Amino acid sequence: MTTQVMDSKAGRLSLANIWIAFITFLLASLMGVYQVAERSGFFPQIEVIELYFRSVSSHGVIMGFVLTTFFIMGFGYWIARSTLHIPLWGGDKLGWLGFLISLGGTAMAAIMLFIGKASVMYTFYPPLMAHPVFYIGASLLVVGSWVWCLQMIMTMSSWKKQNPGSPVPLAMYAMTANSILWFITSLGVASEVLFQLIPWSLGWIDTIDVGLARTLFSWTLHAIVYFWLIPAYIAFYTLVPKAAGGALFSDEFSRIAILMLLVFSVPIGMHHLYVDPMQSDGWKFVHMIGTFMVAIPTLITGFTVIASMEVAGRLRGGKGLFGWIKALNWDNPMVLAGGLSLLMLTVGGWGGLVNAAYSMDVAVHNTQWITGHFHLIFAGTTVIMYFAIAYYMWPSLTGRPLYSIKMARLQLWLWFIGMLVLTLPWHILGLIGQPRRIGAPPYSEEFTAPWVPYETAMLVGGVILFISALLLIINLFFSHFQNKAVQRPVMEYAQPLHPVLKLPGLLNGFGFWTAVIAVYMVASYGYPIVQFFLMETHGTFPWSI
Amino acid sequence: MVKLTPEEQAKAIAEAPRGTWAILLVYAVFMVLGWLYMFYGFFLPHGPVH
Repeated sequence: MTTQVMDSKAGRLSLANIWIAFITFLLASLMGVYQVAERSGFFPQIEVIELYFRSVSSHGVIMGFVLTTFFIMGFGYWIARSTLHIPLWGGDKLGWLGFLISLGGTAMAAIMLFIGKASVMYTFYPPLMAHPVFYIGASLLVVGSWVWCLQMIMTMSSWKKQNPGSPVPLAMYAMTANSILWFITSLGVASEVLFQLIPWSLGWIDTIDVGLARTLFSWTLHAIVYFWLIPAYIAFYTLVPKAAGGALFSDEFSRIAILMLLVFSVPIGMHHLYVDPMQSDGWKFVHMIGTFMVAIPTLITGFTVIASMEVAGRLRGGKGLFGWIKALNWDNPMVLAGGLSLLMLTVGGWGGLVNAAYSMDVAVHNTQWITGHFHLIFAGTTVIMYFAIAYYMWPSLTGRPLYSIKMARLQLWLWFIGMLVLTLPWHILGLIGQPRRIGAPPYSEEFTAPWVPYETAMLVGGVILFISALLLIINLFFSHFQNKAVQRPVMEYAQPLHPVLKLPGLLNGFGFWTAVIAVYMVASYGYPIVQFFLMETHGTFPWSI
Repeated sequence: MVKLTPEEQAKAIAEAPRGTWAILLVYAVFMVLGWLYMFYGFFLPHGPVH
């Protein structure tokens, strides 16, 4: 799996995608600092509510759609090259076409966000309406990523034809699963934008069925989290054990977890609609059960990754029940990030159990608890692994050594500390009733007095995170553009403890699982969507055309 | 980093991941206790967000 040295052109497509991801990430991090300062209420001179929501919308769209999509595309292209050693299906030119479509769409959406014509936040729920150029731009970002999906699926398929019966390398198998997941999950928001939001924002129709729009968005809204998370899992399975000097505990277990994520993650989005009236309790309950099912692959992943690290620790001389933890090479950025990420997943996963429960959700719904939860899972658990992946890939992508491993370690620690300092107070603020989606508190001082210590911590956390983001960019920039070239190292992946020579077809392909998802989707989203075409909507157009 | 003999390496690989099970057990206990606290200690007395 690790035998080919890449030529200098091979990494350009990946590098272009990853640089777009991280440059926009730095911008969005800066916005984050402004937002925590504004939201704290400590700086009345910067309290401009219109600017705040412009910033919140830009921050959310960039972090949730731009950073993730471009980073995952870049990582995916590099995995395809470095594991399969065959040309991309459709060639690099097709990859560049997808990149340019996504980039053009991002630019269109960004302009509208920055000039205040799209302050509809990351969820862009109607009746908030943005400029049509924003919706068209966001659609193009997704369409460009579909080119990537097609290339991932077809490249894996071509490799399988050339290597009949051979197990697809785990990293590529998981990334292809992710491309299928993304294609299926993005269909929900694509339908909403194409058939509802664009016609409505263009003035072609006067009214819009908000219930249908929110239901379609929920189709995308949860599984997108797993689209973000699977690259982190790929790093857990294939890069962390390698960096730790060990092996993957079980290749088969890892594939089962990925497949379970693929099947369980899409038809569960209605837990985002627990207090919305347009869906009945029964459907919400069905989606809640599905949501808790996702805990199974998460636990499998936890077990496999920790067991892999235990093997590595024991191979490094660690003894006893926990002695292997101390023996691990925590000075390696990938190992360090893996440990910190798992710690954040532990806390964030516990929070998720609370807001995923239909009953308990009402105690935290629409409070700052939710913001704390998704920042801890996404910006913490997931994005810290993106940093580690970038550090790991950079020498093989650029042909230059990492500028400073010490700076990388500092950056990861700052991200971890900053994220906890930011999000744990947010959880508490939510429990004491602070709403999310507000700027500087528009309430009496008496009411907001208990918030002050947590708001102060939030501000400190935001600044630490921005410093960390800056260090990431500095390190990657100086690594990429330094003169000290090295022989381009191969991208190495962990091998399983027990070599996998042959796999059942179900663990080496996706045909059957795609059919299962289709059936599950029809069962869990069929009637909840069809009902909007059957019920009396009092003058609104159900499908808006 | 301690240099292991081939026999010690083989033993380390063959050994059951006891530490992992212990960590997951501790994690499960904390999760259950945390969930019980949130349900009985927070949600029931508190009720919906207000």
